[in-house]
Amino acid sequence: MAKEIFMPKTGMDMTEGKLIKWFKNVGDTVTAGEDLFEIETDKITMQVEAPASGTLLCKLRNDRDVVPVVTVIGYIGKKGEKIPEKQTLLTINNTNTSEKNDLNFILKKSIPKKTPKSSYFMATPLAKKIMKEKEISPENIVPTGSYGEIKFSDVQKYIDLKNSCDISPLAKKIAEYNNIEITNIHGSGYKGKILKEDVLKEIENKTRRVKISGIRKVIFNKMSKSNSEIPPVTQSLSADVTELLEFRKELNKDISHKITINDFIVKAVAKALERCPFINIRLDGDYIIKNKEINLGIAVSLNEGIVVPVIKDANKLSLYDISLESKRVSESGRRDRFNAKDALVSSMTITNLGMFGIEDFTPIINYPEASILGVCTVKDELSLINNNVCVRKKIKLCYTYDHRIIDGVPAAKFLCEIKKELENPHNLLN
Amino acid sequence: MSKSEITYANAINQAISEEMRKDDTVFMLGEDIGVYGGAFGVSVGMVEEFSEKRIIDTPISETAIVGLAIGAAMNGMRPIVEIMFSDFITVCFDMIVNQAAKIKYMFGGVPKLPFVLRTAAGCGTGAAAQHSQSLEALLCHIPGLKVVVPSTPYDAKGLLKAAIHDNNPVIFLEQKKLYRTKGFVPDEDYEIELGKADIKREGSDATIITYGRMVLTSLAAAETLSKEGINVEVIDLRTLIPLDKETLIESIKKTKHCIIVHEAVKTGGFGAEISAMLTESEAFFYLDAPIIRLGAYDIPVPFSPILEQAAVPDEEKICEAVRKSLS
Repeated sequence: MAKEIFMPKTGMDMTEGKLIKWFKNVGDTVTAGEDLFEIETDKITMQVEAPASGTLLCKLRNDRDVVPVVTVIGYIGKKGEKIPEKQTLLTINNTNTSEKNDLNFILKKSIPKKTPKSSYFMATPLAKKIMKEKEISPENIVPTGSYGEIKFSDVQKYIDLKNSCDISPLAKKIAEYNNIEITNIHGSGYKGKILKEDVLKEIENKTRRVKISGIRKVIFNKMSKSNSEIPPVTQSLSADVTELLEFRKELNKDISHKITINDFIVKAVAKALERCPFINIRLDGDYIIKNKEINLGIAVSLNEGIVVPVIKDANKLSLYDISLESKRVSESGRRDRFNAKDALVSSMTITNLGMFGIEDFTPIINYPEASILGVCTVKDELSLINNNVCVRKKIKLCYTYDHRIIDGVPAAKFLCEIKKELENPHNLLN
Repeated sequence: MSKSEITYANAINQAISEEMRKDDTVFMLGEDIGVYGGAFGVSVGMVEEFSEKRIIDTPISETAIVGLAIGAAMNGMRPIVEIMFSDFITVCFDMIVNQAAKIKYMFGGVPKLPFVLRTAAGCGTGAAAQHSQSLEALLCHIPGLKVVVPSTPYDAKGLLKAAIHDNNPVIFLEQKKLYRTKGFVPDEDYEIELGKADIKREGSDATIITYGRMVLTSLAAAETLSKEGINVEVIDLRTLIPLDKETLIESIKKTKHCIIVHEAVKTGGFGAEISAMLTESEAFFYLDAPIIRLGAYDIPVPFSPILEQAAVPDEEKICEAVRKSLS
């Protein structure tokens, strides 16, 4: 019997995934375990392996379709084997409520059947007219009409899909890099293929409409939720890092991998969190989740937005290991290829704008976390020490927290703990 | 341009009075239109101004009234007939169908027939089955008649003037329920050409084609739907014959969705004609959903006010139809 290919559910809160690309064509032989298609979730992109060996019998969803999780998107079986008429769902072991809801959702929204291959097909007059003009065959189109007819919007969807696919690899790369919506571009190549020049011309246009999608969509949703749901308070405090900077210089002398100021801060925050478990919490509906692990998110800037890879068990890692891990997750985040375990919900996020000379800011909480630490630039300041005026290196820390579950005094205590750690840098080696 | 707010009934009164002042050949006849001022008060004050020679109270014989008017029209007068309820045109149907509509054709186009038949149509007043019908489809089926159904005071005045100036028989179906509705009308003389539909509300998602009282209901529905983000175009036909096909076709080409609404019963109603005309035209190729017709149930208008209301399209039914078309 033909084996279903599912849109995988890679995380607890994943409800849908974007099918970026099939690697195989219908009729191709596939081996279990080889990469069959690529998906993008709101956190990651990943290749998905073939669940069985055989022939790729059909693709129920096309490249770039957004599909609910555990939806059947295709079948693998013996060559010529028929796929089940009615799309049935496999039982899924996990039966918590959200899974059940997902199932109900899919059951209600069963996959529309493709138009059968006969000369007659149901379509609205408008849809037929456009299909005739553009020489589009009905088999290519998934009807959504209430009588099973093809509607104009269905044809339009197909045209958009086709347009978006017919693009030279270089043009596609340039478009992606510049965040250009390629469906808006009129291709000048053969049969409307989009070429490099078309994309460059589009970039030259002063204004353009770019649909919010991918990472930007994730940021969009998280920030909206954060801003509308969380009552935030920001506290700031300066730490003296004169000693820390000296210490860092000393440490980096003998090692090829250089430890950054941020690494010190991650370590300091991890240690402070250990002493302040009342900060290591987050909200889930009417419940407060008290995290056991200390996982720290590091905001990493990309061309198209921000990703927050996570350093797991940061309190258990040495300063040096934190530095290595931080480099690894940041790089994998930048490559847009960090795996699911690097994209967990963390205890809190650290965002550092120090390298840009930023002196003060109010970071916004990375929903659903409960707090975020903003790190500013290191500044020379005059201080009075033992009645002597001297120059000290100061770093400002801006801590924003969810006041529904974290009060001002605990937050201040936590911030003081971080300060204490940073001002006693030798302890951070432990 | 100065304008005044007047009722639909006033607008009709003004149109007739102004034309009677300008043109001695214009006169009006009907039941109780003189001293009584007409069953719906349209001609109040007119007999005082124009005398009983030009505002003529007639016996209760619709056939005689229309017959007289046809004869007068053939002899150079411009008669306006008031038939108290449009239901009574069935009494004088021979005069309308076999005489008024045919004479010009049967006599080589020689006699002009500048004759207007005004009558009160529609339900909603609790007047029961014999005084509440919308019979426009019967009249539209007769070549030689023009059929006008105004929905606002502005349209009523402008269209009635055009009807009076027209040299052919024009049936002017006034809307009983609208006589007391108000609207702005220019103080200057104006006329609205017969055969021009009016886009009462512009929209891009769906087109409601309607006329008469249902224009107001459709506009209310369009307003409700706009809050759901549905942008509905409402076209008031104003004249059913001649029909402004071009405006309808262009609108469907724009919105791709068509809902036809009338108060008359659905079966054999004028909506069927519009629907068929559209599917015969190039508009067909632009339709992205089946055309939906809304009309009254195929029953005599009930006497019970609740049933009477339930029998005809209302705002909710129209909203539902538009949503269905767009789903």
